[in-house]
Amino acid sequence: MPKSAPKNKKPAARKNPPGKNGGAKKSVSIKKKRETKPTPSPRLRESPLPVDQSAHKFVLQPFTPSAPEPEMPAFEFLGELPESYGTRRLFLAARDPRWLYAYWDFSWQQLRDAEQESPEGKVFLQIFIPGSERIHQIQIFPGSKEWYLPVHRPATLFQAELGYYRQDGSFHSLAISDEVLTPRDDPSPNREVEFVTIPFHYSFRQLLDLIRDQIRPGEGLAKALARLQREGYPLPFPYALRRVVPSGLADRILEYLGGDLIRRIRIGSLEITETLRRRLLELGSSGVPSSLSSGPRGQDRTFSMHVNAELIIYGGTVPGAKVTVDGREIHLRPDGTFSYHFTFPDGRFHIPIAASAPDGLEERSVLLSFLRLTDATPGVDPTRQPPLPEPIGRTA
Amino acid sequence: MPQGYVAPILHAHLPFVRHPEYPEFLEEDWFYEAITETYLPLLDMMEGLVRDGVPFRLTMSLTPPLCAMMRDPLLQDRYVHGLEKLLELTAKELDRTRHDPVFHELARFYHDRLHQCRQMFCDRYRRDLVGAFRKFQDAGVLEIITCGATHGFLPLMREFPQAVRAQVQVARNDYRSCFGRDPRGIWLPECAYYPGLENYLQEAEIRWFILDAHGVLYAEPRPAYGVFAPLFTQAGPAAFGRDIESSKQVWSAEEGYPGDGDYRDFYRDCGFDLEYDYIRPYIQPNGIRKFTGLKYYRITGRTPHKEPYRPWVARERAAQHAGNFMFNREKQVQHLRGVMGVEPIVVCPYDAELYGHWWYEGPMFLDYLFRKTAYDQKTFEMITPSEFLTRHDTHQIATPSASSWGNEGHWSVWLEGSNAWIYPHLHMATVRMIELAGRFCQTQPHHLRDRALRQAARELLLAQSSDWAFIMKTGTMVPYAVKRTKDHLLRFNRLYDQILADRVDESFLGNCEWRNPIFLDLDWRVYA
Repeated sequence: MPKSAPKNKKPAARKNPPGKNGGAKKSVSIKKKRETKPTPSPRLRESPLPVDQSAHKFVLQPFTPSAPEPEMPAFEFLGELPESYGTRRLFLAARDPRWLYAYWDFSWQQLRDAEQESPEGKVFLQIFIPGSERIHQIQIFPGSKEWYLPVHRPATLFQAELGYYRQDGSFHSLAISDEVLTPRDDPSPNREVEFVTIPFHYSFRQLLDLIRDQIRPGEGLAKALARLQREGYPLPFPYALRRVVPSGLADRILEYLGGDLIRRIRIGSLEITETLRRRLLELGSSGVPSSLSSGPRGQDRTFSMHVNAELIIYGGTVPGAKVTVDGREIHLRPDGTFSYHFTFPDGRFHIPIAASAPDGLEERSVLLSFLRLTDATPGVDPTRQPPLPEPIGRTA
Repeated sequence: MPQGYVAPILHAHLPFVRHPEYPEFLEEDWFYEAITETYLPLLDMMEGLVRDGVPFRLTMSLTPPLCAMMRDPLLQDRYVHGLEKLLELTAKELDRTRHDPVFHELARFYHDRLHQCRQMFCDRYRRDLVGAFRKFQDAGVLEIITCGATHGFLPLMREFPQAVRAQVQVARNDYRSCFGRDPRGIWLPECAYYPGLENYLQEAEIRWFILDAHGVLYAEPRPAYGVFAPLFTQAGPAAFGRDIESSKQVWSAEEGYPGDGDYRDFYRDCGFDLEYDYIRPYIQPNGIRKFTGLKYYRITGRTPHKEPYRPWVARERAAQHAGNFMFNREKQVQHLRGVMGVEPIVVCPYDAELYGHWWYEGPMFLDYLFRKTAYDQKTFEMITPSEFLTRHDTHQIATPSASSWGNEGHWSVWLEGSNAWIYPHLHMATVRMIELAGRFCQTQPHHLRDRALRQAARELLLAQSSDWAFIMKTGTMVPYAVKRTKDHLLRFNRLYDQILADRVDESFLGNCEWRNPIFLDLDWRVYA
C-alpha cells in the first residue's frame, strides 16, 4: 500500500514517485481539481492506447529521467565478426525434403583468384547425386557466400562441389561437401517389422558388454540384440518376440491420423509465438520492446516509419520462344511476354535470363544483378507485403 | 488394467539470459514472468496433487540454461526485487480501484497471487526451484529429463561429432549436478533429429527422446503402430512420436482451448493500458512500456473489444476443457486399443511456458486433468515414457526420419534468410574449439589456460543456442539475438587467439566468466 495515503486522498497526489519534487505545484492544482470527481483516477483504458500520443506529451515531460547515461560496461563491444575465414570449406545441408542449402567459406580474393585461374573466368557451384546426375550448376561470384537450391527430391543423397572447368573440359574442384540426405516426405514403402526386447533396467553399457563379441561390423545394439533374440541366443533377461502385427495395421493407423492432415497441422512453438505476436502488433502496441531498442527517454511516442521494396522483372520475346530464368524454363504469355513479382529483401541477387528462338538457332541472354542493403535507424519497420516469393538467384 | 496410456510432457526452456552488467534488462523478464506464471503454478499444482494423494505422472524437461538461471543468486535477487515492485503496484491498484468492484476484485486477485508467489519462492522453496522440482522427481510423480546443453540445433552441427557430443554430455553432467542422478530421457532441442543422433544418446545412457509425429511416421521401415508405440533406434534409445490430435486440441491457434473467450487475454496488460505517469515506475527504466503481468481482461472475442476477466468463470472453463480432453483421450485410447491389439501410448508434448504464461489457466487445466483422470475414468493411465519402457520393453526397430517440431517440420525455421549467416561462424568456432581441445588435452594442467579453455567452450555452447536463430526468424527482439550470437562468438574468438598465443588476458577472461557463469564444472576436453 502507498505510505501514508489517507483513504480519501486522490491518486493524482500519489502518482508522483517519492523524491520527485519537480512539478509539485502543478500536481497540487490537478489534485484539487480532481477531488470533486467521484471515480478513482487514473482509469484503466477500455481500449488499447491510441496510435497518436501527442495529446499526452505534456504529462510525460516531468518524468523524463534526469540521470546521466550509464557508463558502458567493460568489454561490451568487441568489434565485428570477419566476413569470412578463408578455410575453403563447402557446407551442404538438406533443409527439408525440397530444399538444399549451401555455404562456402571463401574470401572475396580466393574466389577472385579462382576466377582468374579458370580459363573461362567462371566459378561454379554444382549439386549432384553421387555417382549419378548433376542437378544444379550455378555460376557464383566473388563476395557470394551461400545458395538455396530447390531439389524437390525427398530421401535422396546429394553432394555439392565448388570449382571451375579446365581447358580440357574437366572440372577442377576447389571444395567438396559431405553427402547429405533429404528427409522422407511420406511413409516408407518398407513394411518389414522387426521387434526387439531391450530391458530398461539394463544399461546400454551392460547390454553391449553382454553381446560385444556377437555384434557384427556396422550392426547397432538393437539390431544385434534382435538378431540374437531371433536365434534364441541365451540372455540373462526374458525376451518376448511379437512378430505378427495385424495385417494393414500401419495403414489403418495412418488413416486414423488423417493422412495428409499430418503435414498441415505440423505446428510447434513457432506458430503459436508468431500468431500471438502478430496479434500483439495488430492490437496497436509498438511491438515487444527490447532492451536494445532505443526510444526517447521518458516519452511514450508512437512516431513510426516503415519501408520495403519489391522487385518486378518483366520482358518479352517472340511467341513460341523458350525462356529460362536461372536455368529453369518459365511460362510465357501468348504474346511472348513475361513478368515475375518478388519481394526484395536485403541481399545480392544474380538472375540469369536466357531466350532461345522457337527453331533453336539463335539465343539471347541477360544477367540481372540486384543489391539491397538496408541501413536504417532504430524504429523503422518493414512495410507489410503481399505473400510473394523471394527472388531467385540469391548469392549473399 | 488400463487400455492404454497418456504421457503429458512439458518442455521447460528459456535461453540463458543474465546481464549483471546492467541494473535491469528487459529480456530477463522472460524468466521472471515464467517463474510467476508457469513454474510456481506448476509446483503448486503438484504440491496439491501430492497433498491430496492424487496418483499422477508428469514428465518435464528442465533445460540446463533454465536450471542455471534458477540456481543463479543474481537472478533470484532480481526476481524477488521485481516481485516486490509488482506487489507495490498491486497495492496501489487495490486503492485505485476501490470504487470499482469488478476491477478491485481483479486487483485483489493479483495481489493475492503475487503474495503467494513470494511465499512459495522465498519461504517454501528458499529460492531453490531446481530443488523444488527435484523433490517431486524423488517422490516418483515427476520425471525430469534433460535437453541439449544450450538447446543447440543438433542437425546443423552434425558434421562435427564433438560438438553434438558436447551438447549431450555437458547436459548430462549438468543434470547430475542438479538432480543427483542420470537423465533417462532427453528433449532434443526443437525435437530436431537426424539419423545417427541416437549414437550420442547411447553414449550418454539416455534411453528415449521425443519427435514430432512425422519423424516417427516416416521412419524406415514404416512403423506398424504409428506414433502410438515407441520405436527402438538401431543404437537402442527409443523414439516417441507426438500425438497430433491432442497437440491440436491445446496448441492450435484457431481451435485450441487457450483461445476460449473466457480465458485471460495475454495482451491487455496494465503496463500498456494504464496512464503513463501512474505506471512509469513499473515499466522499463528508459520509459518504454512493458508487460507487468497484471491483465484485467478476458479474450472475449476476436475484436479489440474486451470484457473484464472473471477468474472463477475461467476456472470453470478450464475444468470443462480438462473433462473434454480426458473424454477425447478415452475415446482415442479405446479405438487404438481395438485397432492395435496392444496398449497404445499417446504422447502429448507441449512447451511448458504455454501453461500459465501464454495460457494463464493452463496449470488449472492440468490440475483438473490429473484429478479427473485419476477418479473419473478407468480407460487410460497417465505414465512417463521411462515407466512405459519399463512395463513394455519389446518394440519395433526403425530409423526415424530427420525432422523437427518447427514450422514445416524440418530446419527451415533455423536456416533461412534471417539467420543462415550464423552458421559459418558457429562452424568455424566449433572447428577451433576442437583444435584447442585436441592440442591441450594431453598437456600439463595450467590454471589460467584451463579457465580460458572452459570459458571458450561456454561461449561456443551459448552461441549455439537455437533460440537466437528462432528469434531472428520470428522478427521480434532481433537485435538482442544478433548481439548475443555475435558477442559469444567474438568472445570465443578472442579467447581462442589468446590461448594459442599463450597470452590470456585475465581481466577479459574474468569479465567473460562474470557475464556467463554457466556450467561451472564444464570439462572442455569433451571436444577432444
